[in-house]
Amino acid sequence: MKKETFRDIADSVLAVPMEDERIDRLLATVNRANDAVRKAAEKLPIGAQPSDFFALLESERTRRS
Amino acid sequence: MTASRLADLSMIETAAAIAKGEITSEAATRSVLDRLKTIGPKVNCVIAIEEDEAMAAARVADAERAKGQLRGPLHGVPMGHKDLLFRKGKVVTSGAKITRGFVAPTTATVLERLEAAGAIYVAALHLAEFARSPTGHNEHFGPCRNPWNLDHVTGGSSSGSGAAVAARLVPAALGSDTGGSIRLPASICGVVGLMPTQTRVSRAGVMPLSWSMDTVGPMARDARDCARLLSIIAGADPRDLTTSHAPVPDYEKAMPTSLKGLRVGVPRRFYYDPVTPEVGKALDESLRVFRDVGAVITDTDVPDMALIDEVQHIVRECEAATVHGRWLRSRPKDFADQVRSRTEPGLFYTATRYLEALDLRAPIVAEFLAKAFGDNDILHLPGVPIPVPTIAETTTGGPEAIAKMIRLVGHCTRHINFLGLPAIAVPCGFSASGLPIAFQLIGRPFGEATLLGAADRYQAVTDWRRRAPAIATGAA
Repeated sequence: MKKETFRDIADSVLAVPMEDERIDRLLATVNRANDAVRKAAEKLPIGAQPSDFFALLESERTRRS
Repeated sequence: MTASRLADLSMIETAAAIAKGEITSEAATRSVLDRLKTIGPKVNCVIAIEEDEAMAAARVADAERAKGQLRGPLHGVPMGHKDLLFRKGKVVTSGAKITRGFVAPTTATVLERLEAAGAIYVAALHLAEFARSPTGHNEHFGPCRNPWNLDHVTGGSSSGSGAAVAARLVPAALGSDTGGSIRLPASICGVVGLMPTQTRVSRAGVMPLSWSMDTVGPMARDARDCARLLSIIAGADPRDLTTSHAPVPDYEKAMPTSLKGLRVGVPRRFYYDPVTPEVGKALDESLRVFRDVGAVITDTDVPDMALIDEVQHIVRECEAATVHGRWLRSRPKDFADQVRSRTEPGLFYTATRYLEALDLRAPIVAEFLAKAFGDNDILHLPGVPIPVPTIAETTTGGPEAIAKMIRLVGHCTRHINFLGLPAIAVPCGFSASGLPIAFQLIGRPFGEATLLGAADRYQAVTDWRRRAPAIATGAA
């Protein structure tokens, strides 16, 4: 995400403008996480969904009980 | 029974003494109230005390016992809890300026279950602002102080729960954990803290931070107390539809009584990277104890923890920014800067990125179970990899230095919430400066009985839990 885009989002969702130094600090964090998750998500199996997590916990429980 | 002897009793011992008529609930409750009022301010672990209501409840408990009626396994036992558990009609601060006058519209299911088991609510305990700090940082209520050395942090966010149990002010307390908030104060204050499997305990009536990872659990001086508390608070709840319908065992009975053959994996890579020699020595000694009682210790590896770090960050911050969005817009200056800074990134991820992060959860957990656990029953990790920092070390030096310290303190805890696995922090020694050191045990899904049993057997052959800070004994 470019700094200008970041600032546009900040301006649209926050009532108070975000300071430049603050944007610089957050930008690196957000871009790093965005890139990591985007790349990992490209390898997700077709049909994956958030509820798979709960199903996995339950299946582990029943498998071991 | 003397006041100091009363304070020394564990939660189960307190319950047993009340049930047998060796002490009254009124005496136990009075003792807890006195200590909360005298020692509590020194540690700054108390937000509100409910003296009149607690004493009235204690007298009712004693009258019921005199008639042979015991409500449950905590009949007449006084307890305090993290001040983000709702109680209908009562102010619940969540440690924040913004919600300082918030009157809860409902009561947390976990508190209803404790009350049904006979427990008495005595005090609302300190926490980090909106449960948002692994060090326990709170600018609005001031720092909660470590009972072992008041210049040091308690860990957070369940700061008051950890400090109050360690200082023998309450026999046990509930906390909540989204990235280490039970396990860090337990590790840093020298008590036991259990984070159950995600879905095991209801979060209804608990101020949320991140719905996908918030977990409520017990903190006490020993694993057996945690086992009893978990048996009471766990189980399906129609008010929290994410809760599992799996049967809840009696964890005190379900705990293994022998660790012979228990397979313990030690993931040295990543988890031990920042461990200091002093902490490492205590951890190695705890592994020797496990080996001596029959456990089989093997080194193991972990998947790409950097990826898990980023994924859990997106989930937590998107959900936190949703919870706090209205206040980030309308009252940004009423957040401490540490808290605001940690929450704002959640405003900048797209919805699809957040959902991708949630979609990644199942495959990442499956990979972690296969790679880190393999054939192991549990994993053994550091609680906190570095010596307990001072309050000054976590609040000065600028945003980058503070962020680095926050990441270091939570290095061994925050990923586990994303994985949804149960974990327990157990004290295993002290640094040269007299601050606690702890290990964590991580279990498979719904493996709480194994974790509690392993912690209980460890505590049976070590004496760390018997040590009390000087402030608890009146020596400070």
